[in-house]
Amino acid sequence: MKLAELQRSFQAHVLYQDPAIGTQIVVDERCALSLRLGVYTGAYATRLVEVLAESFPAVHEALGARLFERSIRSFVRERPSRVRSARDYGAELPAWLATHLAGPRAAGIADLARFEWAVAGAFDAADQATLGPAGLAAFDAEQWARLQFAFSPTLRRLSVTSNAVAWWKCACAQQPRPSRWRTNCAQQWLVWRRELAVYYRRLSQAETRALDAALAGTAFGQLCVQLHEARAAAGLLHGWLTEGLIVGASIGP
Amino acid sequence: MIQGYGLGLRPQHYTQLLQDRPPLDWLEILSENYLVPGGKPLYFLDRIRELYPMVMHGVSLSIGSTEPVDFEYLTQLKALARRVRPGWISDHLCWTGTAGVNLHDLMPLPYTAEALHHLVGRIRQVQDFLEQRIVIENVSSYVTYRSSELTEWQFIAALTAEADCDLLLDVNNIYVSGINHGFDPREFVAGIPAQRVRQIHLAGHSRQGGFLIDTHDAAVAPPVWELYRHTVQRLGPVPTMIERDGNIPPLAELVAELQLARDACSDRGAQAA
Repeated sequence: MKLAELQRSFQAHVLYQDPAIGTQIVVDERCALSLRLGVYTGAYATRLVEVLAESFPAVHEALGARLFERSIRSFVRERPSRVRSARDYGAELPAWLATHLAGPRAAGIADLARFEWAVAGAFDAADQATLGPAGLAAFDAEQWARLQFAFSPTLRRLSVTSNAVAWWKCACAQQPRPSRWRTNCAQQWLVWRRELAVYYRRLSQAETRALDAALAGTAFGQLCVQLHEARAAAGLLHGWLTEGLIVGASIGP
Repeated sequence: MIQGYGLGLRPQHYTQLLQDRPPLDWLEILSENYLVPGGKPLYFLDRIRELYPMVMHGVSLSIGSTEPVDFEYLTQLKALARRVRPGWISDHLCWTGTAGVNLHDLMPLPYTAEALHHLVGRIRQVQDFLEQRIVIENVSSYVTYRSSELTEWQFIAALTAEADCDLLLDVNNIYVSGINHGFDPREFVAGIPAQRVRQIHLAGHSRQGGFLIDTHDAAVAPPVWELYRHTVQRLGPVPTMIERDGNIPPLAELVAELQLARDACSDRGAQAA
């Protein structure tokens, strides 16, 4: 058997327990063939379960170890890893959980997974020097209406429909978890990193609209119109600058 | 120049390394942990690099795969090497997936002329791109292919000569594979080209029935220490480190365990180069 075919056959065994590779392996009295091949088959799923348990500790806790492992093994069966680093394998898990978990807590746990993934993404996103409030002093007053902002690569925006973030906060602080999952509480959240610390906070409806617009390139003047007053827009902008959300400003068209 | 005794750099030990600066000659980083855009991993890498020389050890090269060489990965690796200025860059004698799938495991290769030819070409490609000789590590394995025409050590000897690459000799992997396949680990040590051995790995393993698994989650086992002493008798002093990836103990415990490697070389009457 050629090398390429051998590798495809071995991989098919690891992923789908295709027995064909068995004919290519030396069988001896020391150990059964199934045990030898089982080391590789077992290691694949076990490693990914471990990696995802590390990436999603709160989901692991919320589901419980047994259901978490069962769920992840299903996920692994359905979606062979195509990422170079195992740490990136969790990107599709939140959406998968949303459609595969059953029961009243499904939406909450899927939100929890999305939040944990956002925190993980902020953790090692690109470093970029932030623009403090003083950074805007270089612009003349008449230029402000056309100012557009570049935001930190660590910034993550999330919409959740549950009390998942409250649950996550309790888990991190080792406090009693909320007694039940609530799924009718639409909330907008922001996650970002400043220096080495990851921060998060809830957004009001007005700030959500303004921030999403600014992220899309809307100039400061338009933000003032959207918010119906310049002072409100200036207040939000000052907050974003102070919190280290903005890394650059430029004059737009 | 990398000399003496080192440890694998693990995030659990970042702060303590910076505070205590334990007597380590060098550190080995897992390259993939630092192929990230920013944040804590690179922050600590840069600070610890100021204190210790480093070597880079990867798991994603998949040098034995029949997929095309991943030049995007190599580009990232080369950029990391510019940052770290490692003594050398190593990866494993294995394949990790095919057809776009990554099994995240060190899959075994058959020791055939076809595989040898394939690997020689790929190692040369990688070395040309990285502009340096790379270091290839023997892996633990749990199966032997019927098609293998050479022993593992014969294959390694031919590979290092033809590809002009160096060898990271994992003594624990030799022992684990020796038990699993029924060969004499000392025959393996006798068969590898001494002049190609750039680094030695020591690690712990676990037992699963009559089988040994390369788990890196325990102290180095007594028979592996014995094989290490035998190895340095034959090879002379080689930069040596302990790999620990699970049940990671306090740094002081690993530093103390590393002393056993120093002692093994002292017994031989030599210091690691």
